[in-house]
Amino acid sequence: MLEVVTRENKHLYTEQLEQMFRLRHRLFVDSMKWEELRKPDGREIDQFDNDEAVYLLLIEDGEVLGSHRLLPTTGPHLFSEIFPEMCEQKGRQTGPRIYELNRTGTDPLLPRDRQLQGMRLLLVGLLEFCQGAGIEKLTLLTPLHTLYHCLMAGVKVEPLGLPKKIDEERQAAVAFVTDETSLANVRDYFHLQESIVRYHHAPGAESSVYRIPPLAPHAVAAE
Amino acid sequence: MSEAHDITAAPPPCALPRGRVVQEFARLAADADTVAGLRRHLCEAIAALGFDHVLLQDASGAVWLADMPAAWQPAAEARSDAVLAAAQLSFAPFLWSQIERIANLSESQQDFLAQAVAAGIGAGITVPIHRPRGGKIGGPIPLAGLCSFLMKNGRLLPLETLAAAHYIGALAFDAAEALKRAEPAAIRPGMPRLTPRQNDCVVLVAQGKSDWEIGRLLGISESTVHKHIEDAKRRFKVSTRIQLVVRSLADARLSFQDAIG
Repeated sequence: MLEVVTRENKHLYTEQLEQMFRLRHRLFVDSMKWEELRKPDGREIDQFDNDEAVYLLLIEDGEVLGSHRLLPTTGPHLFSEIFPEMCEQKGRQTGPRIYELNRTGTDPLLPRDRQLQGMRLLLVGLLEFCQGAGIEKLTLLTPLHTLYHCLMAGVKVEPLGLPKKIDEERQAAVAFVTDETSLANVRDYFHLQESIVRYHHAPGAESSVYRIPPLAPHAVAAE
Repeated sequence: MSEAHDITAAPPPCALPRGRVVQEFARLAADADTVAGLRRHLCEAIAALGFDHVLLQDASGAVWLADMPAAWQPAAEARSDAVLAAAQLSFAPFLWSQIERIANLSESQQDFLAQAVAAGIGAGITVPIHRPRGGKIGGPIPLAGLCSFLMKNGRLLPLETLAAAHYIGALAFDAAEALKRAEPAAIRPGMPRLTPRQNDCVVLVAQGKSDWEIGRLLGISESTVHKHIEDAKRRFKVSTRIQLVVRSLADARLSFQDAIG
């Protein structure tokens, strides 16, 4: 299942968030060699891991197998703070219904077939989450081969800039249109029709659908 | 997504070729006598199979036939064409999601793909077409062209029709090449032109085949062969088959290689 973790329910997921930070270190530092993210305690964590972040954790039998991090584009995010030059063609896309997706991946220690299955669940679950939450677009950096797999799966994509080299790999800034068509296409493509996203706001509570706030909290504060 | 995983599910096994669409296209393509006519038949065939766009190129990357979004542009130089680069390295049809695994793409090739996405192209499959050249037995069989079948961004590739697309790509290329070969006649006013089918018959006449043999080879009746040859003779205003072959050789419509098989 893909569990939604926000500021409201993260006290229920202390152990799983800890697993996620270690998974991200194994994936992005040990496996993908993003050396500037290396931390002595083996937990990949940065200034964007704050109350604004929404996490989607792929959990099986209590184990975190993969994760996404989503940041509201109305506040600081990677395209505004770290890679502002990546969206030079279409411009940076921001708004209350646009989130930025980053730190996506599965545990590199898993066997290859489980990593692939994990990525399928992460993509289908991501689009299911966006539909329920009211997110219309996700902006992200992606290597071309990943982009083409998403296009194959029927995700509607808007490129925001041409690919540029980041950490020895050429990546492009794109927006995924997270509408019903994209969700229906990926469900058909991967033969995964059932709902896999769960949101528990209290221990033992029934799963409900998470909705993003109509305006991100700091945008309200700024008004 | 900033990770390096392959998330392609194994595509479901291809259904049997959409036989009727392929058969109909084979018939129309062989009889098309203009590139515009061939393009129309190709567009109808790919629409029937569920594809949105089609692009037929030769081995230099030059566009022969296209039904592409208005915003799409061919690569400025052949070496920027990532799809051509992958076709040069692959005998089998490939999905565009596999291009980066087939070819080590340069920056301009990656930009070319990104621009195709920006123009509204999503998933795609390309059929590389290899044809023997020079008639040397055991020689290399080089890339002769490529035919790409593409979807609009946000549409799923009709995986069950990929086998049919494989046939259609090869048939379209052969028909287009035959029309290209006939082109010198088209640009010299007053010179007669042959349809690809008439051309096939003349080539076989030059090889000394009888109408019956030609019919068997082309899968058409003896009387149809006779009609094609008589039409060709009328177009050249000649009265014998030998004059027809000589005129075809003289116009370079028929090469000596064709005539000696």
